[in-house]
Amino acid sequence: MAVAPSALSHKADSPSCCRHCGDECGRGAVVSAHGSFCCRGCESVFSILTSYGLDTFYALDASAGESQKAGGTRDASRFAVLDDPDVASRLVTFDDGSVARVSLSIPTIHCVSCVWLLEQLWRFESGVIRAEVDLLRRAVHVEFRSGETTLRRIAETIASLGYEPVITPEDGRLSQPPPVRRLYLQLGVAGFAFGNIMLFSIPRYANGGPLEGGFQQLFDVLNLLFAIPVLLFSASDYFRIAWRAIRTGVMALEIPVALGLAVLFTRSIVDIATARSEGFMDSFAGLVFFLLVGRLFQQKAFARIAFDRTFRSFLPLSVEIEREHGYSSVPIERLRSGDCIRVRPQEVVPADAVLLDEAAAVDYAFISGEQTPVEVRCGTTVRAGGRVVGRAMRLRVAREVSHSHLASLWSNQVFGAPKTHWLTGVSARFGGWFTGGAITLAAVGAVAWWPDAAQSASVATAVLIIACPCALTLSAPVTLGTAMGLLGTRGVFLKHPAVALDLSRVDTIVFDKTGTLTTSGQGKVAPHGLSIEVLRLVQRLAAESVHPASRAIANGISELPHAALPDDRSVRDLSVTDVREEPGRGIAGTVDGQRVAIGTASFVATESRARVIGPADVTFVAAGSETGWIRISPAARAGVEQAARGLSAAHQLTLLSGDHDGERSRWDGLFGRRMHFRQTPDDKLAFVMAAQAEGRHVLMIGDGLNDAGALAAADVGMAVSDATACMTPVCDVVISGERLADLPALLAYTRRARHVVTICFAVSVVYNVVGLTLALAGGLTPLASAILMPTSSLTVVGISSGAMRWSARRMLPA
Amino acid sequence: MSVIVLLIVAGGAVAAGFLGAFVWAVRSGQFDDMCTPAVRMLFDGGATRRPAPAIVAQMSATSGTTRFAGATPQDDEPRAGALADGVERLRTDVDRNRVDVSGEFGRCL
Repeated sequence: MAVAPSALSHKADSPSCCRHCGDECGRGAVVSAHGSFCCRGCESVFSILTSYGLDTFYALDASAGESQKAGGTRDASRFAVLDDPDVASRLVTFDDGSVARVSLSIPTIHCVSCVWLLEQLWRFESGVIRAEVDLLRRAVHVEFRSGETTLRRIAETIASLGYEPVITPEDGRLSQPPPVRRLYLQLGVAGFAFGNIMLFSIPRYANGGPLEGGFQQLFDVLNLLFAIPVLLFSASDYFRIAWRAIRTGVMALEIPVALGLAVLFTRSIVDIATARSEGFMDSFAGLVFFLLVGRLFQQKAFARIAFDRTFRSFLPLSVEIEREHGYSSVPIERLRSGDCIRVRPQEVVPADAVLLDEAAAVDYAFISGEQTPVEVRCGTTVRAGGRVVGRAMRLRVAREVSHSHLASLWSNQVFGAPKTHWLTGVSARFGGWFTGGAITLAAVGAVAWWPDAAQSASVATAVLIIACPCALTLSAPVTLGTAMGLLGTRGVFLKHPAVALDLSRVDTIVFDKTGTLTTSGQGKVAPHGLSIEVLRLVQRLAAESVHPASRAIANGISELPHAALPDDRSVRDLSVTDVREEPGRGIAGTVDGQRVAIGTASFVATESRARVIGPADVTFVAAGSETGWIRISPAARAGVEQAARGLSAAHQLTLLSGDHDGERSRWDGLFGRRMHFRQTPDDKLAFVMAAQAEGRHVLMIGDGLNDAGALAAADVGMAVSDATACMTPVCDVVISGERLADLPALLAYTRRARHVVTICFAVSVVYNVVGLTLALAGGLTPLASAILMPTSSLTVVGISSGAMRWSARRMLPA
Repeated sequence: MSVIVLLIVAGGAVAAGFLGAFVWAVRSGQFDDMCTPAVRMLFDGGATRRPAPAIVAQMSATSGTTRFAGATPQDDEPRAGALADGVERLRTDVDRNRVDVSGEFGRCL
């Protein structure tokens, strides 16, 4: 190693913390010349980094490393699929034969050190020219010489540094330039024109009349020239949307906007050509500029979060299929029923298939949210979406991918139709009245001034100009866009600003239980028939495993309110040898000289040769001659019960759980009779739709694919995500688990957002009334319009973004 | 007064130049990621690109702070000193900037 350890800043100075990830080192610790590590994976990442002289990684951020505990269970050849040209072509964005570019999604990128380390990729892999991290999208763009290295080797190198690339069919979106580019250009052009037109308009306003010496004509023509790119490029989207709306017979707020802009531009040309006035080009450019600023607020999308996942995103791209001569990798679309496939640990079973091996373990966390792996026996059907735990398994495909149980969930029409936001409907209706009202008023004005044809036309156009609902158009995007951004910094991600308004109207909240109200890996344990001494041994053995149930047991026993329980230190000092863990079944080992087994009844029976009896939903234990069982009741998320109690005053709360009703009594106080257990995904969907049919506005909060239908059908679907890398189903809101307790504050904040939008509507209506009065009286000069229109826009932007920021500080927890 | 025409032409040219620069900046992707570059500029010396071969040879001959893929990782005393210095300097830089960096992150993520 090149650097003396004293030169490194690292929080893991104490020997019990892992030097790489900072986690506490348990008994599985690895002690090497570099220090102590919690697992073999962390040790190898650390030694790779130091051997390349990249220790800086640890100096940049105290908790830089990603824990590699899960790494040991990953298959070494899992990136073999990248050798498939079909798959590779989806990821490679550019390839001229010698140099290629690829974009890989790496959800674990989280800090400065990650950026630094990944951008040093060229030091690790000789063909790499450059690597650039995009923090926002959690991706790395790699440029490499295709002759010297391969996509697979790059992915493997990145994975060996502790950053597991996630390869899904959606990765194509990483290579596209973000759509916001066009908006920036439109905004730049409009701002440029606006500034220059103002420059040429102010002399006339200051002069109090037309300029002499031909300058007025020159300035007017220059203004016209500057305004043309604004009309053709910057404002083009408004015309396009309005035209599409007219053609399809739908009303939209863009129609009066486009009408106003068109009239404004035409009237200005006519005025300039006839030398009647200097035209309204400054108002025109300013209007487009402010409208685009409003659009910019709306486009603050959370690029790293995919809200529209289909079931395909949960499945691998390809799978290994058994042929006469070994295995070959095929894209899962080409799987046919009857094919024999091999699925490796940590991979997801792509289609409903029958197990050919004797026994295996599958974790259905994607589907049910339940993280405890399930044991399956030979001949059992493993459903698509299940993740293989422990050993690789051989399966015979029973149904093609598109016919699997998982896919049939998606065939429901709730996934087909895009959700309509309340705001869309309201603003369309509003746009309708507005257009109608403006045209009527313009006609009234024209008739009133009739004998004077020129004045009559001038008044009519002035009405249409001033009635352009610019401030109205701005108020919703700016308010809601600001709210969306502020919520995003607090761990609540909205798919679209309009979702905030949908949230504000919610009156019914439906909770999923497992993974939403409760978390795995923590919980209360209730031992039965076990002595304190045995519990100590069990606690010690359970600490050896990373399985959620084992973690819950180890944590739960240490928290048992029993005076005689020994302190943690003495438990940690117990010796453990001869540990054997069978995924999905249990763990056994010799603790302090005694043979201990924890797990399913059959596992414990085989291990201890003792007969174990007890209820079906418990974990069995045998230690020495003692046998018994432990019931784990998962812990509710911190603060969630209290939050739900707070919400129950104004909202109707319901619990829908896929589980058995063993915990009914526990949630009784909160939900009363509104609890439904053993709900299938279709039951949940039907429940949500029935509530909506009664006119209720439903917020569904869930986490797994079993909630997917309900999440998609609900007015707002909120997915709870515990890890940033976690896959969430189709939803409108992604909320991080620890923020769920803030739900009452969130809903209050969205109601505030609705009030702010209403206030802004009122303010802009006042401006419109003033403007319309002026216009009807024939007094709307270019100067009056140049003052009135930007002022109204600026007031609305100021009120809405200011109020939302102020409210966020007061109402939302930091 | 005709001098104004000259001024207008000169001013317009300057303004158009800036607009052109802005268009180029947007199209070359400089506005795509408004977050990572702010973090990247804090790194001291960690090149994100493989240097051209000539520079590689020169760097490995003169400075000891970089090691390249393919080089056998083994102990090397003069390099260790230089690297330790570099790490120390970077650490103080980052410590000084930590608050700002995390603020930047809060905004981005």
